[in-house]
Amino acid sequence: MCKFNKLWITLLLIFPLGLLYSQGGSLTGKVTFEGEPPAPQEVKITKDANVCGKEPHYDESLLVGENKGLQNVVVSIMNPPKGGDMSQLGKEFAIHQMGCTYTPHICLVPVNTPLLIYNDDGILHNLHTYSKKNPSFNISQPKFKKKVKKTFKYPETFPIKCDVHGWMVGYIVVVDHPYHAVTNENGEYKIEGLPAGTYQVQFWHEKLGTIQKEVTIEAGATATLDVSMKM
Amino acid sequence: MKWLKWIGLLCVFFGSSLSGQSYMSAATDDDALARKYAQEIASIERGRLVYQQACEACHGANGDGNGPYAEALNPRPRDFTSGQYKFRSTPGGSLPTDNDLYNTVANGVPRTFMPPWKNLLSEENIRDVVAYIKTFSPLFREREPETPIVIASEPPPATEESIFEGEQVYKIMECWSCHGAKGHGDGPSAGELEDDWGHKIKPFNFAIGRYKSGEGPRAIYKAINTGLDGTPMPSYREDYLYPRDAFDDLSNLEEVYPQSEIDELRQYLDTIPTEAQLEEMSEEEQESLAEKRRWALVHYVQSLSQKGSLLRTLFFDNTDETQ
Ligand SMILES: [Cu+2]
Repeated sequence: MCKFNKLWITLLLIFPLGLLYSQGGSLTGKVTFEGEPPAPQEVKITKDANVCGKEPHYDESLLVGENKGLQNVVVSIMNPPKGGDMSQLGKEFAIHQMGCTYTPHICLVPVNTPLLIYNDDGILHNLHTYSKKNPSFNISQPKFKKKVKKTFKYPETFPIKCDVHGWMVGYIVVVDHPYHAVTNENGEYKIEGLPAGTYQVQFWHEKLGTIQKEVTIEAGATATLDVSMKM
Repeated sequence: MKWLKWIGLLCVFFGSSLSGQSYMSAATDDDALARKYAQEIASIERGRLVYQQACEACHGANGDGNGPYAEALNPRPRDFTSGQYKFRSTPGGSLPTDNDLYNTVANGVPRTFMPPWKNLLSEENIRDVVAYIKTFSPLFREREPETPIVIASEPPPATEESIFEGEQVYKIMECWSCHGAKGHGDGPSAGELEDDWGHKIKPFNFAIGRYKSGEGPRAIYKAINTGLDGTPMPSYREDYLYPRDAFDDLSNLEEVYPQSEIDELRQYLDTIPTEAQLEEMSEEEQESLAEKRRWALVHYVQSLSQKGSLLRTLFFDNTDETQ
């Protein structure tokens, strides 16, 4: 009887600890643009004006929102814990070519996972990638070809461009763990499911380059890491 | 328990003799491999000497296309460090085969400063220099070239009908986006094109003929269906099974075509299979339809260059063009 009691006490002690651990912590924050943000640059539509020109296009390489929130910064844990759940990043990975722009502008996709590239515009686009570790490609996607499927073997960040519409530029970020996020139009991001520990966090922006910070996350808690980036 | 000991001994005996045998065969494999590597290294070394004399002035000592003469050349010499090659028999994004590189060196590239080296170098010289050029890009150590695409050795002959179909394929694939409605290299996207190195590049004017990728219909077929890597020219190989019902809206052609030419395309589309009919076809039937359309496009493109005048051929404008 006495033995049985001890077992129960041990279990009761361990259980909440385990729960805390499995819950993990999260990292959140805001990336801001340091200095006076330049005025948005409107892009001239030189082809397919009736499809591409429905709405004005702005240069997407530097998008600063309210309160100087910097959009499209890729936030990555550089020393990720093992065994993360990839489904945290989503189930389907897709880029849409709609109104002659890539949505999303920055697309995260896990390694060896199909990326679907849709031509919603019904005009010719070509998919021209500039990858180094993964074989690059340049294939046409004529108006009748609604969907192209591609998979990537190695983690790497690279541009995808359309030569037919020179202003169309996007980025594909191939990742081998789920601890990544892209900042929204207010510069905010959140990475969830991180076990307690100290992490190196990288912030990458296509025009402003890379910075690294360190952060410590406690079990079950949310750490905040705000950074600013400048030209 | 004595029998257990015996089995143990037997295992040790056979085991060692087996592993001994595999060791022996590994040794002979290693020898063959070592000989192969020694031959390759010797070929690369000979190739380096050829390269220093024949290629370095333009392509640079580091193979980055920045030799002392490079600045004055347009199109610029190839940068071998990227592993990107325009003229390949392999699918888009693949490395070229040794034969592809051999052919480019041996035959040269028309309308550029790359001469046909077969007049100056022996076959072995060229093989050696190809081996050396490959050492400039790490990709040749990391990947194998993909299998070359199949190109019929006896292409179907061009007919009025195939040229007509090819013209419609040209409209459907929107080749005119860059190459223009009449193939003069003046399409709406022509003005702003760049190659992968950020240098300005113009779409080819088909009236000129004299393709950089080689002469004849098979070379044109190769260029369209493998693409020209490092340039805006994509590979179109997988795009030929378009169904009739995908073209309700042809208004985007109005940008460059008169209504009469759009009507002509509409008439053609009325004769081709619908999506449902395509799905009912066997794989062979589908492939033969795609192949018929691939050659039709080649015939049309070729028909454009026959109109090229001698004057144009002699005084070609030597800025870089895709093709
Ligand atoms: Cu496009």
